[in-house]
Amino acid sequence: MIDVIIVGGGPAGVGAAEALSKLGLSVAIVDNSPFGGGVPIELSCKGESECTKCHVCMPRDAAERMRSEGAIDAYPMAKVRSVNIIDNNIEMELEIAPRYVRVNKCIDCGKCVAVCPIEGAIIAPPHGAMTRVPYIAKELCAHFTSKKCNLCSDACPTDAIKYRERPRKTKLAARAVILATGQEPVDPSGSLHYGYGVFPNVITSLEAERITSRYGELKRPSDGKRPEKVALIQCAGSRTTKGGVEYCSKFCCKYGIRIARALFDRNPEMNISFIYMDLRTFEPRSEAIKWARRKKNVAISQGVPGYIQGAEGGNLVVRRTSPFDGAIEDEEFELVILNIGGRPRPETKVIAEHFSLSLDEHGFISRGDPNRGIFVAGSCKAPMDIEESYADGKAAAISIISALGVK
Amino acid sequence: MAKKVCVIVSDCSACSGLSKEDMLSFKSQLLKDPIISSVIGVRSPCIRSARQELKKLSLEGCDRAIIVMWCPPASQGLGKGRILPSPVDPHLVEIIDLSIVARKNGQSQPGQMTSAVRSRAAKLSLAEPLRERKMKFADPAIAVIGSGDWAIQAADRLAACGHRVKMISSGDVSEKINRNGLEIIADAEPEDIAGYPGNFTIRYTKSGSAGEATAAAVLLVSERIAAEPRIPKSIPVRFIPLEKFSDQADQMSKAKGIVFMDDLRSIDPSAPSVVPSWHTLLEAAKTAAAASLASSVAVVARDVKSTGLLELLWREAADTGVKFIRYDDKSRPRLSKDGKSIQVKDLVLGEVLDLPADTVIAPTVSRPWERIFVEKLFLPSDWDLRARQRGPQRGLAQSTCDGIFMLGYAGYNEPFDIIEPELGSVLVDVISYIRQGFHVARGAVAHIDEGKCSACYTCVRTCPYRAARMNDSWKAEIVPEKCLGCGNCVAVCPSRAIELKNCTDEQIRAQISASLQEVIS
Repeated sequence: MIDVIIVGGGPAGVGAAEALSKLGLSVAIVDNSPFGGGVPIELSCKGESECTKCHVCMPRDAAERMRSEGAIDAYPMAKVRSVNIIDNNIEMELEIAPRYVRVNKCIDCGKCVAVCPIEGAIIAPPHGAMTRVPYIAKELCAHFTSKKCNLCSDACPTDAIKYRERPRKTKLAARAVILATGQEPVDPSGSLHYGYGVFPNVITSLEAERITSRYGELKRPSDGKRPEKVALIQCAGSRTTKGGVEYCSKFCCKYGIRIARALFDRNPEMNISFIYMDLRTFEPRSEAIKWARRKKNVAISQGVPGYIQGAEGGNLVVRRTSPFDGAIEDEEFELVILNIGGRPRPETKVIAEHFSLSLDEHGFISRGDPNRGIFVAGSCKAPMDIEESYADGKAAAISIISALGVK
Repeated sequence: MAKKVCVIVSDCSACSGLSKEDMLSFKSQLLKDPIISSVIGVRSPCIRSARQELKKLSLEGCDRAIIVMWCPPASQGLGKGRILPSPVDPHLVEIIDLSIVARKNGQSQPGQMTSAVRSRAAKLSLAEPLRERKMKFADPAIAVIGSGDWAIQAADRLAACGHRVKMISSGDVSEKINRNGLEIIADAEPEDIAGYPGNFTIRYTKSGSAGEATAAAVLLVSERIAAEPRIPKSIPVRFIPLEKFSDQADQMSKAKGIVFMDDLRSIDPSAPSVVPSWHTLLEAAKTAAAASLASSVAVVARDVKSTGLLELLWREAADTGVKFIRYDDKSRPRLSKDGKSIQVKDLVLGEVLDLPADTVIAPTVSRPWERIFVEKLFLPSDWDLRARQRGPQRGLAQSTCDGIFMLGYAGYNEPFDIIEPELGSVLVDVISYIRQGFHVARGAVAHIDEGKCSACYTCVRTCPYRAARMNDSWKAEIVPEKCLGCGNCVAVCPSRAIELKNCTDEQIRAQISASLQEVIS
């Protein structure tokens, strides 16, 4: 029997797993994504000439370390089907979705990824993945859409590709469980006044990161031009009653400033306008105001815009109240990046129902049930950034240890 | 037994001044040597590519390598600690600069270059890897220093996990909370700390007499202790520290106006910069408004930093009638001349407001003992000697000095709202360190030649582990127990007074035979 099952392989899950395995308990991680890792696995390093402590690599390195040591059992692509708790013995039934690559045969040679003609149909494991086995996306793969392509299967030296794989069920039992289902980005199309989804050059911060990591620099989605003038708008989809969440998402100020600094670092010619509601950072490192005042082409000002309009050539006009004299002013930008907040994942509700825990009004699991062996960690408890959820995972581990005792 | 060595050569003809043919013949000559297993060419940026090649090599099990470069910094040993990726042992990698040999007399000297690399390879093939020194804990106890709730909780939870805990507290920690066999030293003021990781001795004074406690690990828990700021008495403003407000709220007489400030520096420039606990501040403002302690309750802040779910508390406070006024850095709030109101330019409205203020409430902090530890242990700190973590890739409140752990304001300049995850994360680190049973010191130790040292403090500032310090005769010295042999100080020392020591006998013999060979050839 395993000691602890961790539901969710994000920063909190990884932090908890690392702490528990360090202290000698056996751990299994259950995650519903192909590689685990939560939100940080999509993010890129925002370091400049030195580390800016964005903490993206912290959980990823920890996951890599644990995987190479074989310290944890990983169950990627697994969904919790049912839960049975009898006398501090937690039994979980999992349904593992097909990966179409056999885990025990794959040797991670990367040949299948190299031959695939469709981008994104077969995905190589990124740094910090729970398992080093690629994953075939059924909705894109030509074998499933037209039944003709067998390139990856032919290229595989160990015959690991299996198109006919079916979902399978498995059971896990443990003495305690940590719920760390994490959070997901808010969809900003709810806040209509920003025109996300209407104008192609209004993108979210995550999309900006994807573009940067794909092309090596920031480009406009409409025409592929390098933007000269960029606006970064904070609090899109958080601290609002219209199409977003009411609370403050906590991580976005730090995150937005690091994006701005990384953009400036890659292209010092770029005009960056950082527009915020309140600047809620505490570390001196990202004291953005001091930094921005030293740069000529970086403007940092309070007061989020009322709305965004389209203009000629794919440009955007941002209308807002001037922070200096209160007059209404328009400013034209070539690209607008909305820094979006986070909200609890929809899976959190399902998981909470399985464990008969109650959710608060925003969908967070505010409290676990230590008497039954259920602990909660990370950003499914309250809004948190990477660093804090990693620490919170460790905190959950220490409460488990005082409950179960150290071996 | 001689081990094989890999050579990584920077392929650049611009730096090396070699033609393509010369470079090829140089590489092929190197390969003839039986000790050299392979020769890898790297392109610019050469340092970064060499790093990546080294990482690949160490994954494949080959641990000895020579990096050949063509620029002076490499020859001066600059950044051996910085160039090498972390799993690579600095004793098994050499960085050499062949630019001088290559360009002697204006023409290339392939023969001399090859012999230079070969002699280094002969040395390296006999080098011994670093040996870790395991230093057993003399007394496997944990000292928890602090007096607040979090210190008590930390000590209690550590004791519950079955560890010996000594709690040194300046406050009156009653024996009643002692459930798990804590050793409580109450009413004691920590005075001094000595020793090295794994074996610390803390000296304290308790009711006039001195005492000592030994511990393998120290957990510093610092909390906000209210301090009275130096507001001139002529100004008729009543000042209440935010931390004391909840105790005083019941006895407060009705005031004209209460102003909460996020930073007292605006009206008292000598006050230290403090990040308030926004949870406490908002709760206090809400109670003040709800109990109608004053006709106007206002919060004056640069930014309202009610992160996360505190946002809802902010809204509740605003609904109860608390005014929130944000100011800009350029126009900070100030006391009016008669001292009865606070003038502040509202950032949103853009006009100057005159807030009636007979009571000002602001966060304060005083941490008298923290300075001692920072000075004695060379903990990473600010310019004003507040303990602060530094260095990349550190989680919440981990210190860079082994065996010292920090929690709360001691470790991090953030408000206390996030202390719960921080507490757990620190406890995991403490427990896993103590359970190890010994402190691990790396084999190599930097050694300072006092004759060459010019006391410039560069190594003291550079050392990421705070192992360098100045001794009584104003020369730098390295505390060997803290030194991890990273080589950063060797790289930066302007007078070249530092070197990494602790060669094995085999290495010395190999060096002698290699230099003999050079003489003979």
